[in-house]
Amino acid sequence: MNRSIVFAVLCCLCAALPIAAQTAAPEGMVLIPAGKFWMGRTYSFWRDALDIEPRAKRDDRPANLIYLDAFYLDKYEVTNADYARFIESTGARPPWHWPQGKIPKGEERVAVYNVNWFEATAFCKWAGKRLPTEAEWEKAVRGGRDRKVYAWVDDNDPGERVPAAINRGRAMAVGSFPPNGYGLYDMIGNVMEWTNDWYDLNYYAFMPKKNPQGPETGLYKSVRGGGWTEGLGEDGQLTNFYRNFSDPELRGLTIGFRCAK
Amino acid sequence: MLISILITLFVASEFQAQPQTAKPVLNPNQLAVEWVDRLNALDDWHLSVDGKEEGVDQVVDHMMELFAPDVVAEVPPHDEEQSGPVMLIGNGQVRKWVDKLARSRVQLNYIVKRQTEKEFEGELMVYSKPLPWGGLGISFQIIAAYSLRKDRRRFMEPGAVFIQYREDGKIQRFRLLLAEKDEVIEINGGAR
Repeated sequence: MNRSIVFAVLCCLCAALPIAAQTAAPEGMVLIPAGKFWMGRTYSFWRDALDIEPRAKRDDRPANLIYLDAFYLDKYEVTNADYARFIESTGARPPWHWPQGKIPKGEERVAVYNVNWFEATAFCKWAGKRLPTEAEWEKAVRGGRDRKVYAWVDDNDPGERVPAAINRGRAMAVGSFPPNGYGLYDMIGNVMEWTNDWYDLNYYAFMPKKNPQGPETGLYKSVRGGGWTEGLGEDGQLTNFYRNFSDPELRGLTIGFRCAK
Repeated sequence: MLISILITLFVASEFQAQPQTAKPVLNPNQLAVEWVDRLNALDDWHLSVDGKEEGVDQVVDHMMELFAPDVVAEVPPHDEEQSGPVMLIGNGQVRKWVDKLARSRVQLNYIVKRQTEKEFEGELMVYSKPLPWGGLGISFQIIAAYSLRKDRRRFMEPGAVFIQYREDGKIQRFRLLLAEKDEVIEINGGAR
């Protein structure tokens, strides 16, 4: 009797272990499930009809139904403390604004910035991770709210009190605002984030529908997520689909990153 | 004597000022029919015995001859997993679109709307305007009919085309609008 109970328990454990191994996210990361989502803008703006801006700027259209495999994404943006460990381990160059190459006092939990795309890529590699693709980033920011304009509401009115680090004088400590539907913090607001993809204005016209990796080459890297300088303006930087870009060599006060796996 | 010399010089300088290459005459009806004919010819290719697509590049090239290198186009979504207008910048992107139409749709039958005062058939209804910067703008209603190659489902969509031609006859701006997409079915074995 006892032997059969032990055998049954062992069988259950053997069956459960692989499942647990698949679903348990690495520390500090969140599992984003496999599946389809609409990437890009599924809405028209009034200004679209007015033709008051070059139509060619509409880099977030058409929206495409994209399938992504499951992946992990850092719960928080990379902090100064995280980056200091990377510097200590690799001898990498500190952000230029750090006094004597040390983290500014009391800013250990503040999102790191003034790092270029190459440095962000090197950090993720050092951590056994990689930068997310632009498609992964957009699926993640939506937090399960497909075809919505904003990450924090189901309707298309952002509300007066946006739960994100925007309209600030500087980057803040990560996790200062509630997470999105996937449990990710600061996807909108705080620092904008490097992605792995090259930026192409017209990429969405013919993008692959499964695990898109971005254009093969380009001049700029895609940067996503409104930063601490943004407000609720007309340009839509706080929307889930807003696309930005930067020279991968440039370091900026408003651009940081997080890693994927 | 002096006056005749001056007149000769004036006439000679006027001749020199003329452009050396003759501009094509842009006829709105001809331009509309040519555009539609080349579009309808995109299904004019075949599969070889071993299943290779033969002749696609030729029909795509034929269509692409109409476009300037720096063409800007706006077209409807070109597959069921897209939503919203598609901007195409440059003839490289337009070629991708044309190539996709050629390979994914068959039995193309785009028709320019015709009309008489009281009948449905008659004159080609092509509207035109000389462009202030040179060239010609034309627009016309179309009825687009096509079948999907993958499952042979047939669709019909009314729409409109707006094209701006440069003085050399190449398309520089292009917009295709399609609406009210309806699936077409056969009744009593009638013709499609």
